[in-house]
Amino acid sequence: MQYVDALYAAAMRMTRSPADAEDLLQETFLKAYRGFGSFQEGTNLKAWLYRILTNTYINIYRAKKRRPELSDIEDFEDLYMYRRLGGLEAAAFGRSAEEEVLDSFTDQEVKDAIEALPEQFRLAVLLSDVEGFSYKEISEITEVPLGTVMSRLHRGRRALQKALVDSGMRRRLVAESG
Amino acid sequence: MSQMEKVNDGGDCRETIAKLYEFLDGELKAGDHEMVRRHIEDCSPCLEAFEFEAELKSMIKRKLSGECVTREFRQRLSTILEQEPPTI
Repeated sequence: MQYVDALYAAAMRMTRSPADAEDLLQETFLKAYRGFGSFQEGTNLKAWLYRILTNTYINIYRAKKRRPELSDIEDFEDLYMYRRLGGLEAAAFGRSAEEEVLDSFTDQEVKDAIEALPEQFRLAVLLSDVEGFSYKEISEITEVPLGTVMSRLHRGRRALQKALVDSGMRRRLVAESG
Repeated sequence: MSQMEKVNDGGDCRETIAKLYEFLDGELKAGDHEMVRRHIEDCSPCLEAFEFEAELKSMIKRKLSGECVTREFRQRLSTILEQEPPTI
């Protein structure tokens, strides 16, 4: 039952429902327990468990068709958010204005922005930024090549920035630069 | 206009920004990592952009940090696993 809290937190981020997260975790631990014979001692136990969790989640949501499965996503430029915060700097908000804006986002706004990403991009961002896995580990967990992980992660992050900027704009926090 | 207008103007800046995520994720090879590090040391517009992205990355983690399992669920999970036949 090692990693149970970390896996539960991950399951909550994936499903956003305590009941679904518990179901997902129960299924994950049963599969891990039954399949432990196939786990190779000395390899990465945490990544192995996340792989089972992620696969189980993907299979459940595919069966339920809860989320649209988009194979592609609009691509946004590098530094999307940073460039749009330039307006703040110009408006003499002071040196730490950007960090203040980042801090002003509520947990809910960040959750909503993540939630809006198509599934495979969302998982890549969560596994990297929140769980702290390396590209290689994410490639093993999600069973896609390294290049695909990087592409999903980078494009997912830029799309996340777009969603956050939009959300900030709605609160009129982020000044639109000309 | 603001300083960040300068980001991406030169080839060095463009190359550095292209490696931004891999740098922040600790995924660059030693040589590339050192090249980026040296560039942002000398180039304040790029440094600012890197600092912003690093702050954003940590903000996302902070805002999404986890909920814990309830004692009831942990208990239920233990019971379920105890009922499983041994695997090996």
